[in-house]
Amino acid sequence: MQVVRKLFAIRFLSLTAHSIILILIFWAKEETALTCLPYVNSEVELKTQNIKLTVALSLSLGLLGFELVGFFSISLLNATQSLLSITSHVIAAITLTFFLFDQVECNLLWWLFGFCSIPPAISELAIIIAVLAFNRKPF
Amino acid sequence: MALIDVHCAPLLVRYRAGIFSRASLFTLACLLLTCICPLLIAYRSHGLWPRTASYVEQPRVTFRHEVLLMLHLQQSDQFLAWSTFQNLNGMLGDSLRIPLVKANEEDRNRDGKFDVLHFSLEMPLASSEVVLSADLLLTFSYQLHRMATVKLQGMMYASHSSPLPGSELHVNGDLMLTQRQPLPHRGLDVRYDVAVINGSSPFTEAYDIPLIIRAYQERNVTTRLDNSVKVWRVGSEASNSFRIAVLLRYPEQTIVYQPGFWEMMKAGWVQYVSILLPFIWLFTRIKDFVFQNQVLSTIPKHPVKQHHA
Repeated sequence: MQVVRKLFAIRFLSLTAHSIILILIFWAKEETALTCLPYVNSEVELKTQNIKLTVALSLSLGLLGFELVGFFSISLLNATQSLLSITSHVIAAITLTFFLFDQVECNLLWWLFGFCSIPPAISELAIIIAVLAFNRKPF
Repeated sequence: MALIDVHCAPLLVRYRAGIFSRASLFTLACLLLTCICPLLIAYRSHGLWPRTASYVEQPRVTFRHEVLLMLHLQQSDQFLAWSTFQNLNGMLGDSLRIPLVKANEEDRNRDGKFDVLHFSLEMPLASSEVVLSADLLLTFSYQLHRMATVKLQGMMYASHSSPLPGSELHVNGDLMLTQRQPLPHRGLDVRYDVAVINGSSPFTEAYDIPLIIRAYQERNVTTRLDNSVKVWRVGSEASNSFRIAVLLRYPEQTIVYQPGFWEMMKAGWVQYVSILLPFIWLFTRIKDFVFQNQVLSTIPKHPVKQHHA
């Protein structure tokens, strides 16, 4: 139990870190969109880039929210899910910090979304389905 | 009797799990992250593979004793010229005049390489002739040996003009190497071991200074006069000679080159391993935590317990 409590704290922190950094990027969206475009760009390109960024960030935040709900209700004590979630979100948070500092290209957001937001969300969904539909134990 | 620790050794606990278990997957993920993260950090922070590097070398320079001199006189379209090329001298006609030339190279620190060129030229003038501008072109053999052996023929071009009639021109400067691209790190580079002035050509184009400079500037590695100070000494109209004195130094050069494979690997490896070490430590701690606390189920084999059993 002691261990799961430790994991629980780390998971909460990593989820929070990831969401905070996503919100920060959301705030700096205009500048980020500009830096992701070539120096000579058109109004249309900027608008498209803005929309792309908004979609990527909103999807990531949505999945994070879903995971937070699952975290507080069902998968709180699931060690495997905690490990997966901690790994993904710590990596995502650190990489996004670099993204924000170095202003690397915007496609990184999609890579991170694919590798660090989707896998924990899918396993969260699997646990929720297992618990609610098949009456399995959540840990 | 007091006891001291003379030696200590850790016991190895083995955690076993199936190949396709979650524990194996976790170990694999840890291994990949340990190896890939340092690589990404080293690469993203720039300079993992140095594309260029530099070294300092004093070149082996020798004056080729090829001179092209042109003096413009006050009387329009009159000039005096002299060169070390027979073909050109033959074409100059009345404008040809033979000066007194002295040149010597000095090895100041006795390292077998010349450090300074003293060049002086004295052109006799008639009393009616007044010099307003001078063009001087000297050529050199230039060699580098420390990394790649680079042999090239370079030149020094000094030009000065003044509205006041001159009696002397003093040029004091350095012969510097100009690179448009990095040199190779090994081998022999004789791309530019080609004469700056084609002395065997019977055509005037071969001795036209703008054309010579145009062809010369096409080269990627050249020498030129740099850090130079020119002094134009105003002379009286009655002076019967025009003197040019050149003091040219051959200083040490910072040469940019392309590092070889092993130099690049060494630089990359040093950076990679220094970032890898903290990651190995971190992931070992994480794996210790995960397996000691049985976050992922494994079968631990303790050496001590086994011994007792």
